[in-house]
Amino acid sequence: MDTPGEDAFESVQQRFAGFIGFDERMSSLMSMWPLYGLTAKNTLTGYSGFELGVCLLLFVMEKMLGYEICTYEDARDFLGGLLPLFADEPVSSEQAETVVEKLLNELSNYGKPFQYEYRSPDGVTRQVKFRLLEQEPYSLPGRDTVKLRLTPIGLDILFKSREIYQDLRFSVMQFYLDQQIRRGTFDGALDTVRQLGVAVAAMERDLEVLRAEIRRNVVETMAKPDYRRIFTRMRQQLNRESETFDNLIRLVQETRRNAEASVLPGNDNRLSNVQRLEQQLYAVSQRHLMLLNSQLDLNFLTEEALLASLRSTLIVRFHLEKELLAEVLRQNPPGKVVTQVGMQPLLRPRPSRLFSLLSFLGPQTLLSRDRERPPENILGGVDRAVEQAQQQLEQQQYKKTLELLQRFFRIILTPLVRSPELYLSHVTVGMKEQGWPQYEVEAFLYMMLLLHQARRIEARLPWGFVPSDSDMLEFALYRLLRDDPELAGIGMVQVTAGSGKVDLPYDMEMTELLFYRGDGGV
Amino acid sequence: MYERGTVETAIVLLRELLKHPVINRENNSSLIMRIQQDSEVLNLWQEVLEPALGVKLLKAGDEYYLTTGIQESVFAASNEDLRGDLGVDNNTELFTCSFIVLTLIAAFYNSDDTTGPSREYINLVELEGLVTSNFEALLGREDVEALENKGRVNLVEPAQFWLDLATMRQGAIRPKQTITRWGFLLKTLSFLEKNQLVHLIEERQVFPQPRLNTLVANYYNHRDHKNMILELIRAGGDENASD
Repeated sequence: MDTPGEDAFESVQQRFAGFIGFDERMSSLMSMWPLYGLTAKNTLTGYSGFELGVCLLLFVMEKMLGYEICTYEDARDFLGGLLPLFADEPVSSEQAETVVEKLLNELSNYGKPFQYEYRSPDGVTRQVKFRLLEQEPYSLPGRDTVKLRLTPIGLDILFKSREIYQDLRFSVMQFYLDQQIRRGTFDGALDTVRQLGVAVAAMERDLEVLRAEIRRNVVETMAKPDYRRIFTRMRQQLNRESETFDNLIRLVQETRRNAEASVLPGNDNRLSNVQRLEQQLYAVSQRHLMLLNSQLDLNFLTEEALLASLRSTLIVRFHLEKELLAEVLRQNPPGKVVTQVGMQPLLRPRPSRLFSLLSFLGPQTLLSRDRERPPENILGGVDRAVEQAQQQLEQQQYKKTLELLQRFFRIILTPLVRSPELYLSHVTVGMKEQGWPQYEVEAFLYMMLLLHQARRIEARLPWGFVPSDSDMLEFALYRLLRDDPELAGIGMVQVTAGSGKVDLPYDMEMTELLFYRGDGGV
Repeated sequence: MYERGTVETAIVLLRELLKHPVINRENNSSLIMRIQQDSEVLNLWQEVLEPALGVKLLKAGDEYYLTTGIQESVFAASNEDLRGDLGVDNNTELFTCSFIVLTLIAAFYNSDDTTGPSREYINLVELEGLVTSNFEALLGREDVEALENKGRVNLVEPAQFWLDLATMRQGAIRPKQTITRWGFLLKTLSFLEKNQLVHLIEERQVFPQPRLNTLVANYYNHRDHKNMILELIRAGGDENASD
């Protein structure tokens, strides 16, 4: 019988997959509450109740794992011994007894199960009921006492509280999957594969974060527990998980073959499920395999970063709030300085717009960027005048740059009309006397770097194509050659590094370059 | 004296760094390999290219970044470039934006135990508050008038400019274009986003990108750079430097 409420719930449930298993999750989360509750108990104030509670559970677990009985007295003595470590002030023996008794009572909830309520998405208030620590009478020779034991839920929260659990989960899921395939519950199996995929993605993310951390500061990163955990996991578990994947794939393949053999006409649902399972399992295992490669990368990266950090003894701490910002507020420097120290180091270097020689390196981007200013500026109306002025300025600069580039090309090419080769140092000798401004020297230097990189200058016509004006360096050369047939008669010029350095004005220097005519055969 | 191959590798690295924000194994494994095999490449950078071009090559593990740092450099953006990129009209506005950046990085990299960010993100509302209180602190100093009377160009103007702005204009269709604190925050942050330094989400919160983390860790946390920066702040900069 459907009530309107159930209808609504069903539709919400269909929309939000997180509601599947919601109740289980709530009870799992609420199993931690009694421990958190210890922080609010008056009797335990000043004695770190929460921490002591965790210690108590751990103590009982240790006993259980060793198949030993944990009596009330064992627990009391243990806690009594710990108390001075966790208390704010010295503890008298009466106080100690009160605290220990309170803890034991609280975590056993005075013998009653813990009960919490929560509201389920179907609108119903549900109840979670559980125990963490159980006490039961126990007879020792000559006296009766109580023994303590953790319930499965008590054990579970301790397991969950350590990362190792998270890592083991992967193996546990693989185990489930194996069972599901054998039992033929393929829907469930597909779900498990999906979860494995999520787990692999989480590991990928962990690794990515770790890599970024190592690049940032390897020494700091290696000291973190996360680093050790991921490394240990990689070393110990990846290979094993990977083998398990191989086995699982074989199992699915076998299952598929059986399904194919026994398929009935009109009933191939089972078969298509197995096929889907096989595909998805294969995909997940491939991604998992990639993690193995990442492991090698990570080792390599760590090694390299460590070496680099050993080489550099210059790393110091610069606290950007207490040391940088505070100093700016104290000194009140010019705004320009703030741009310089706070913004400039973060930006990508770029050739100044006047010399956008990037044209040589690929698609021209710097010049066109301004024409493609974000639409808000164009729409803004007010900015249109600014825009126009800027474009005009741009054009002037463009013309100036073009002339400058042609001048540089002429400096290099003219001597090559008569001589088969030219050393860069020969043309740079007079720069200082001729009074080159700094920006021209800088541009010249940069252009030489680019020419060296390009390795050749095509000083002949015609070219296989007509360069457009968006490609400034080529365009400048092309125009120069067109205007000066003598230079266009030089032919191909090779550019290569010579020996020594060339001194330029303004304390600049670069490697000697040799320009020589020819098609490349030295 | 460097080998031809060394020079070539060093210059290819420069070219690639001008083209790409980062050079790493993913986008250029052969170049990374060549650098690893030829230890002279990095020496050449240090001895020749860095001083000549006014740049700094940052090596972060197996990745390379290029920055001009705080130096005058042919590769550094001019104030005019920056005004254009930020979409602001004058230097007061530019310096205001710079101060926002400074406040932002101070908020992220203020951990006592790591050079990494101390938080995952910052809300714009909080950032606005920080910029405002920093500017207020600046103006609240007793000697601020004395400093100003000395004719020194300082942060007083950006501070007054900021404090006179309305926080935001409700219902603005293009909040980024409004002459409000919010408008300048958005201009600055989307500029930083274009430079792959932060993620701005829904004009609500800002996340640092790995690139920002790496640059801060490797540039600022360096003895020489730190000294240079502090010196520059104390010296008040070169007042005669042109824009």
